[in-house]
Amino acid sequence: MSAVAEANSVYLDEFRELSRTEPGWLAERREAGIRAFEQQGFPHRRMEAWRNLKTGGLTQHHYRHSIAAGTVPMALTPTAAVVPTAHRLVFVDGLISQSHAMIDTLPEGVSLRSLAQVLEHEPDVLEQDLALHAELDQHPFASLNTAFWTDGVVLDVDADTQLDKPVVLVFLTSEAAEHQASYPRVLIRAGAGAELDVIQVHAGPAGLSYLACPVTEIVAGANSSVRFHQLQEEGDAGAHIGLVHAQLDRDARLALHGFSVGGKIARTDFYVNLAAEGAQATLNGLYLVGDGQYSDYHTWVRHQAPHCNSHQTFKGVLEGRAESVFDGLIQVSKGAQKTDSQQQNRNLLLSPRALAHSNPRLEIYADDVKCAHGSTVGELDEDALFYLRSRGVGEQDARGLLTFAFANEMLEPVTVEALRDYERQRLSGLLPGDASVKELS
Amino acid sequence: MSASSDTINELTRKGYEYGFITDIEQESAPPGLSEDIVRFISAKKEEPEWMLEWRLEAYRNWLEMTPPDWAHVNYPPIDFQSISYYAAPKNQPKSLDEVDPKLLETYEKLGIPMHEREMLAGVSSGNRNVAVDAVFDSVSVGTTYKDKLAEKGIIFCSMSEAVREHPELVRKYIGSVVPRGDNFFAALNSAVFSDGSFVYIPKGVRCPMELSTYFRMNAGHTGQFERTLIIAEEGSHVSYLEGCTAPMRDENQLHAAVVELVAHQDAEIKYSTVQNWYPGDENGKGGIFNFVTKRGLCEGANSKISWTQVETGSAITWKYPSCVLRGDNSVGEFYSVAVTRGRQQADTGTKMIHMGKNTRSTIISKGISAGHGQQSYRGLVRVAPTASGARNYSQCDSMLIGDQCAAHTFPYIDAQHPGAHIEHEATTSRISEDQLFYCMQRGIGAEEAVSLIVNGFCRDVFKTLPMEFAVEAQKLLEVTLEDSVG
Repeated sequence: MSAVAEANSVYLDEFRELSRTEPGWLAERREAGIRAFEQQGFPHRRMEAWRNLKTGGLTQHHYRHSIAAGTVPMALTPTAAVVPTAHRLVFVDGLISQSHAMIDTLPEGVSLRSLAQVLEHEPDVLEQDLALHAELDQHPFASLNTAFWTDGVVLDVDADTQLDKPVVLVFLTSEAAEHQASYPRVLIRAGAGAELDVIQVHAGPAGLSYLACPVTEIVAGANSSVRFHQLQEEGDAGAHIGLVHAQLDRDARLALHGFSVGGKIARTDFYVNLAAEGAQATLNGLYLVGDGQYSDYHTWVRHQAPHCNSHQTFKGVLEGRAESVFDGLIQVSKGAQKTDSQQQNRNLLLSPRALAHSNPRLEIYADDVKCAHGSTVGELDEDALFYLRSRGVGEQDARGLLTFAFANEMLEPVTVEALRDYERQRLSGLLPGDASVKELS
Repeated sequence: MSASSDTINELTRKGYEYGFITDIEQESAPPGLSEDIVRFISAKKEEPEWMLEWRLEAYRNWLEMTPPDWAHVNYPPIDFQSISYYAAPKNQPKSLDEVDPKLLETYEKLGIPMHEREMLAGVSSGNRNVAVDAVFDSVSVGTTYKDKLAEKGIIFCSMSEAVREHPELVRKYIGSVVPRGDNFFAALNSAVFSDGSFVYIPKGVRCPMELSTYFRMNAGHTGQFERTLIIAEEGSHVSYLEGCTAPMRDENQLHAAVVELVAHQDAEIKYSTVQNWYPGDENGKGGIFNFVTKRGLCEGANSKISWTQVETGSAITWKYPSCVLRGDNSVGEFYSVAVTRGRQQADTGTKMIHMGKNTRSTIISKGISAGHGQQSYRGLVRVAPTASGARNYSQCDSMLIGDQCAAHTFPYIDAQHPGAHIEHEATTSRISEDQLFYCMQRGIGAEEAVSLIVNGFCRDVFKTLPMEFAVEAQKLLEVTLEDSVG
């Protein structure tokens, strides 16, 4: 059976059919997006950055971009309400749902708007950043997003302004979007000295085949502090392939946190450019991969200026026939002296059929740097299990406890308490063992 | 480590010590590659029909392949039609006594003992002999201590001789570890390999001396394509050394070798390499392209294969000595020191494929990059679903000397068994000011201090080398790094 999307021009045709009235600069960038996609095509095994992803199902359909929003499935209401105290925007099938939005009075100097709205009224404020940062040459899906997005979010926080509550952006897929693609686009700009928390949530109904390709661009000004959390809970037949790009100015601090449990195929690429002296980035992620799921985190951390720090920690728990990939790059450019960069990846295999790939990579072109990476794959410690068993803890409970301890380390640094509790609950819900024991943890 | 600075100075002046050319009558094949050339080489070697067929099949495979481009190295495309695939000294000796004195002189100059006298190579114990097979361009010019080894049933000879004298062994094992279509350069080698060493250790025999092959590229516009095959039968043990040098030439010469090791039950093979091909001048002109496929198969239970390599030469190195751990409880080891300076580029590492139960592997890789050197460690640790209790430990450290060089690490880990324990660590650093200061305030000169620190950095690997090689390797390292420290 020949794959529909292998002749990738179906997406090109779809692009040509669109008639948009947009400023010239944007049309150009969209054109560059579709060209980047045409050039790469759907990923295949011979593309180094995509060699473990089995796209089989994805190429069998032409996922047209959704043009109408369906209704939010009941099962997803709790997900949409995660972190109750927040400024919230909800999107269904890539389009904004006004009925779900909940924006209290924003502090002065903060603007949180839908991308389509900004584009309509004052497109010029976008020209400087939108679709300029995210790199498309290694990411066909981000290329598609650039070509097709219809809506999304623009969050601007002025210099020396602090957000009072986290901003929650929820992207849901409805039953109506079967075999469709959604391309949410987010632009976050933090002025000098600004401080903010953003939580981006992705979810969809179970048993539905769809494609979600979100792209987020973060521009962190000098001495700003941006904490970005991504919660990925797509439906078990959905595919989530997205990209987050962050550009850090002098002394900017970025904390990226990823929590991935859903999707049949899930992949997120974190690009972090430490572009000026003193920038700091912390990336951490937890992937819980069940039977038949594929989960993938790629990181591209580039030290482009001296005196920058970065720390990456990613942990995975794999069950059944799960497959996971962690591929992390630390790149230190020529002249980026005094770089301090660390990277850790730990994988816990709970089943003999689980497969973990771990590719920590270093590319170093400067001599006065401290770079280290470590990677481990293993099972639960027999001694620790034995200890718990000898204290009268049942086998399942003991396994659950130890796995929880392993994974919980990744949730500790989450600063938004409501989110941390939510993720913790999700985690313990997936673990074996008695509920009463889980109370203890 | 205290080689006097006089030695260092003397050696530095020479730059690349082995860059001389031996003026000797040679015959060589016309440049270019075709089925005819493959037939010509096979005929030259008086090979049986099946060997020729095997070569031709490999050649046809090769025609359909493209050169790999995933390695982190840059080089202009190689014109495979401008290389001569066969070069040999005109007077082929019948025995060691008949070897052209000029050739013997060459090997003496290189410090290779070609006379079967009770000489010692670098150590004072006096009774350690090394049996040497010397390969000059495309042919083996002599093998020492053959009789003594034959007493124990050990076969140590050139590959061409093995094809003629022991066809059943060669036929059984050749291509069994590195199939002829394995990769672009292995396919090329399979088609045109000219010589190399063949070692067979019978059941239960511990080889009484180190076996060694010395490769010398002499002729211009040629490539060297040797093939080495080592078979260790049940319960046997062998330690094998390999050294290589080439003259200084402005052109890039291609060296595409294949090494296959087979260790049966309880057998152990230790394979050490000191690679010192001509690296090219400081502007990156000339030098050897070293594109080598080396792989060992731990076929039987409790077998062990250990690779040690010291890579200081070559303009470009592309080399991944690997272990396939098929037997239960088998062990794979990889110890490597790689130095790149000038415009050298190296992409080297290993693959450990765990298939048997309780298999263990250790990877220790030390990379030193100086000048404009580019260096990558690229490794793969794969644990198959059958490999319960597999263990791996990898450590890859890089040292950077100067701000124009680069060091990269690309380890791949694919684990498919929950009982597997895999650990990987890597660090990148430079010689710290504190260390240097400490040494210098104790009256140790800057250069010696650097040498001291570098040697300490490489110690884990050097201590696994046979004694003679360890001494040579340490010296080599000092000479190599000499002018890059400032």
